[in-house]
Amino acid sequence: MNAEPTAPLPCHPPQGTSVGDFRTTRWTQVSRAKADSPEGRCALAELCNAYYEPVATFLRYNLRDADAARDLAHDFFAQMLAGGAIAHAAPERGRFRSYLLGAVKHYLSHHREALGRSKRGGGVEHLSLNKTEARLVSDAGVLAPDAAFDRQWALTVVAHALAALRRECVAEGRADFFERAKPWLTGDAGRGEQAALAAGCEMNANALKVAVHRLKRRFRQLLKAEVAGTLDDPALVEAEMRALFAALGS
Amino acid sequence: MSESTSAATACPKCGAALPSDATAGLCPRCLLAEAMAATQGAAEPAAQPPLPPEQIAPHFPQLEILECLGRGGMGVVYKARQKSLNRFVALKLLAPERGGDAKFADRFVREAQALAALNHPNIVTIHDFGPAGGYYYLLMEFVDGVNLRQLLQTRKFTPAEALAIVPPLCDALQYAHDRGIVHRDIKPENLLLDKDGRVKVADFGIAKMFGAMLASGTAGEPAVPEGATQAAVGTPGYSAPEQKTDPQRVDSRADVYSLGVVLYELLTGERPNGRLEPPSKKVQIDVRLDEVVLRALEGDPELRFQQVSEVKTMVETIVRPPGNPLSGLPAADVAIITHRKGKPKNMTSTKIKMALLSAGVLLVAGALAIAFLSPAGTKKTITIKAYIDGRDTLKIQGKKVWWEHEEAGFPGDPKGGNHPTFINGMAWRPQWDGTNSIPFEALTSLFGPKSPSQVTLTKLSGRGVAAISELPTPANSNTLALFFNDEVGGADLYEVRIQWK
Repeated sequence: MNAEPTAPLPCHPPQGTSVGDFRTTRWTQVSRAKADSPEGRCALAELCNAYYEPVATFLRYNLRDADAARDLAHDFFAQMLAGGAIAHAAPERGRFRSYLLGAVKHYLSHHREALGRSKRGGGVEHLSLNKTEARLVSDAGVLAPDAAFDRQWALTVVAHALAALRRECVAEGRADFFERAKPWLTGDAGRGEQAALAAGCEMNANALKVAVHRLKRRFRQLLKAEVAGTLDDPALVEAEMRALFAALGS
Repeated sequence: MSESTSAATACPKCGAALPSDATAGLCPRCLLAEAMAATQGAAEPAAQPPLPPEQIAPHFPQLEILECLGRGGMGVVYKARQKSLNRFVALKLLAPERGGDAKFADRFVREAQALAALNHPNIVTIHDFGPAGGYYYLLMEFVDGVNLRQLLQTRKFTPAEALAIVPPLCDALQYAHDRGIVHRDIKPENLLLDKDGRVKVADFGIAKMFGAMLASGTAGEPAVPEGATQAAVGTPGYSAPEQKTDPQRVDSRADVYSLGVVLYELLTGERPNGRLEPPSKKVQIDVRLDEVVLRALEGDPELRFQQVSEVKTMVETIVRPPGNPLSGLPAADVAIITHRKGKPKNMTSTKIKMALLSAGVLLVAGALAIAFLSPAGTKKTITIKAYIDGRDTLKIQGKKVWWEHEEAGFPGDPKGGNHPTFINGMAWRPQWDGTNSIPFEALTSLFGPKSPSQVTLTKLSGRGVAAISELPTPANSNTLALFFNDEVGGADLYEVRIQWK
């Protein structure tokens, strides 16, 4: 097989170990890893690093305290990666998203128990409501913590894919093209704007069409790869994307 | 990554809350929606999956098979690298080999050699052909681009873009016809656009070859067997009528027909169906183009253009060089329009208008280049193009035409909408100094304030027709007012056509 990285090919059946994107196999590696294999741990660490935000958001919506949420998030991930009881508690292995949510909920319930114990023992900590908290509280009124988690997950996935696309363009020396053409990723723009873009990028109109078409296609591929990286079975990518879209719905 | 906070802004397109700048200023919901839409739309039929490169590679030791590019009706195409020359090529695998059939092999060779003789910048070159690995293969030029079908699926073509494709396409076809080769399967999938924007025609004569392959499979049988029907008759929707009814008599004029279908589709977004509405009724293009397209689509080959080059000539005479509608003018006139000594404030709007009118040219306003307009309307029709919304009213009184735009709190404020407007092709931007009307003399129409016989409102920047609330009748006995429906949206370009009998 060739050495150049290729995106998942439409004609190939999904393969367990694709030559291309490392992320495609990460969750698969983790969920199938026996106990504490180094590959499994490494993959898990990568995933946790990438999907830190949704966990932090969930905790924030629950605790209504940004600082406490951050501390807990760190502690949670530390425990996860140490391979403690948390890591094996969540049964849902098909999707990393569900798995992580289950794990953080499990963690939170333990933590609350522990908090409760220390309260009884004295040393109550008051959570002050400064301006930041007040805003978060009003957010919590709008969105349930689970929904906030999913929504942040979706945002994270899209952001990663876009960042990957940008990195590729920069590596190819096309940073300028990316910046100018990226509005097309959300849909068609007016013809006048395309003409202006073509002139700005020193391409004729038809060449620009082709270039924009390819940029969109590459973004789709990267997005799908990002989503697939969090799934055990790549065939579930479409369903997961629909779920993410729904999570962004409100 | 910064924490996402509650949104201060919402996406103008979908209304979802926009998070912090994690997604580079783009709405994540729209990004996801767009990516998903295309994915689902392009779902491939799950027929037999093509062979993976690894299985093919052993049969082509001189090539490095890279990836499958796609599948067409007649074979699967792979991207490969020709090791000896270190260049990319396209490898097309055709029908399975008919082992040892000398007559077929002979015919195939002759066909392929004729194709290989086609050497034209707008025709995909054939490098090699032959049997291998149980298939017949074609080694072709690799075109780094997309086909027109892919472009049609993702966005519409402007008339300018569609017509820009015609001349090189005609050149390619005429070149082949001059050498006795008919394509027989012209369709958007076979028309490639490379990354430099150049048109390339692929699969020339493959249909004939393919038909020959399948036909020879049934020894001695003159009739075309079932499997070859597709190949012989081309692709439904694009093939000329005689390809179905009289395949023996198919000649180069069948390609003219298919070209007509493609052109119709590029211009209007749809293939011609039974009723065959002229393209100018669907899109804002020169009515003379209707003639070209319809003549190419004549059912009787005798009535079509007899040569593809005729199509090119017709199109080129109708169309000005694309991209610069002013290019036909002497430099001085262009200067009047695009550049004025001193600030615009020094010139009153009337003076500018007079200068423009005396130059008798079309004005280009911002990005709205008018390259293809009907010639200034017949005396009794006025055509207005503008961005309008439900709060706009168009008024015609005596020899004046103006917009009234209802701002909240200021009903009937005669300041007028500030949107660019083109009346019979002439640009008019309302001023805020009260002189927001354009004299009738500038229009070729001379009708007074009586009721029009017909008013149509067409949405140009999308599909579909919006409606005017009712056929307007003159109010105050000397003013004609057009009120637009609430559904008419401010971000869309509309054309209002008003006709007086």
